Amino acid sequence: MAAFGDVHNVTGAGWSVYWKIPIASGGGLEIWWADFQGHRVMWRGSQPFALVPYHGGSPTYKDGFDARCGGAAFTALKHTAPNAWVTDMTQFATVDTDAVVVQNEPADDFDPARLIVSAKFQCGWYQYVHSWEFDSDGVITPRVSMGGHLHPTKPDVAHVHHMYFRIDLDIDGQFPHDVFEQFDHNSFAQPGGDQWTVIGSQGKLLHDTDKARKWRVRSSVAKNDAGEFKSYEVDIPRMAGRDQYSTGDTWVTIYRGDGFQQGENVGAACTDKELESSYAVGPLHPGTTGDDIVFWAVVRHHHEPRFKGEEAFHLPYHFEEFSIVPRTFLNTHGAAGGG
Amino acid sequence: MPSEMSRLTLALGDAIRPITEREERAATDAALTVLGNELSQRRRVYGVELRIPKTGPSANPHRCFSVVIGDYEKRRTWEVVVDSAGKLVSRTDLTGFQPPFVSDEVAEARKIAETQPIIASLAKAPGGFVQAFGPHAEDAPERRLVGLRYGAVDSAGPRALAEVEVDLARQKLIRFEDIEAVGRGN
Repeated sequence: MAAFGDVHNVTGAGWSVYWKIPIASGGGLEIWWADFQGHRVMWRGSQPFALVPYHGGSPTYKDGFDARCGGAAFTALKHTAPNAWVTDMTQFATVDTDAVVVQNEPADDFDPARLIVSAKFQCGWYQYVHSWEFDSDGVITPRVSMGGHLHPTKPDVAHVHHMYFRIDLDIDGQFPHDVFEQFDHNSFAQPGGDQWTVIGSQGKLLHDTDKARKWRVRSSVAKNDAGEFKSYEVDIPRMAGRDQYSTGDTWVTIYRGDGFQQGENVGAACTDKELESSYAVGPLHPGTTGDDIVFWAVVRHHHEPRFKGEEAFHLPYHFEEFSIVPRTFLNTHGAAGGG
Repeated sequence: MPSEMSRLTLALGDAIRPITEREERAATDAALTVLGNELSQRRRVYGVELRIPKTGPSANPHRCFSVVIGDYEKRRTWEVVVDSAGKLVSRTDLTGFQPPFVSDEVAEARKIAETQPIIASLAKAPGGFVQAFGPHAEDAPERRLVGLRYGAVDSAGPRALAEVEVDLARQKLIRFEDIEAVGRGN
């Protein structure tokens, strides 16, 4: 068994998922083959890189996979490592199982049962925690936390963490027959105030909180028992906006393999423009065959350091997240099924 | 097998078992053979991993191996995927992609950098440490540039001392910056 790179199966809350920390990646924790109640939902999910521009124009790090612009790879720590700028090599994971924690949380009076897979990575003086929650309502919540230590020579300088997720949903395993759609709440007209629009080509998409914008990956073939096409929605809360470095909110593209377009060669100029200029390029086929949809999503956090006080010695972990929520995937609450 | 698992995942079966050292060696040899004369002698295999091609419910998943190879002299990065018999499945030119630095590369970069007395003295600082980073490389992303941050831990915690960049292809130190002095100036 290799120290890193093997897949490990875990189950709970109605889910079966595999996790992996690749060898030649630097992109952190990956989730593979996530199935809910016997139905495939996700082929692969990861948060391979982050762009972190600072006020003043420099630095503008690209961290993680294919680190550039002064950024660093995500290097697995033992999960017991302190929240700090870790320099002690004995705190780094020597095998992937040193890094990953799997929790099975039972349902309680407020929350559904959850299967949680988490790992901690050092990245320069920062730490990132990758954590994926799978709950018994069928919801996937990818989460990322920032911790560690403030910039050693710019502790007072504010910056934004733009954290990029690559998600390859395969609704009920019926690839390449999915379509990508965008939701807008346009008015309170009833009916017709809300609208789903099919996205006809690969490209960059922008959030619009005034329209309660969200997206979904919908099968064009798999249906639930009510005859509705199965889908999963993508809800991305917005705590910070786009800027000249991070220019979009979602990019819809297609699966071109598992060794290509994973975040490599993005960030040449410390921006995400390559996602638009070389990844999300080409047609989609929503009216005919559908496609094997892959989408990228960004979660963000503007960090105004509390460098003289609460963050002087270390950064308390701060999580940001988004949700991948079943819509018409289940026949009834908590019961997947259909064709 | 757990009931949560889909029939597609169940079908992966034995194909996703851990990779063995023998498979790793065989995949590496096959990948190097595929690239043959396209590689110089100054190359590095960054890793071999299992790769399961996406297949539909009717097809049998087969076990493949991804081998990532960098060539310092030719400034190329390749991913070669071979099957369990060593037969080529795909080869992808990933030039520009920089895999994370391996310990040998960091050691080589340090050796080059620490020929400079000022950098050697940083390495010997009490509580000293060195961490790698990816430099700016917009003008030539194919270069294998290793960034090194020299730091030291004292009673107040870790602090950064200097940043260094080394071009492994040219075996040359290309940047040194005393960032502790920069920090003091801020």
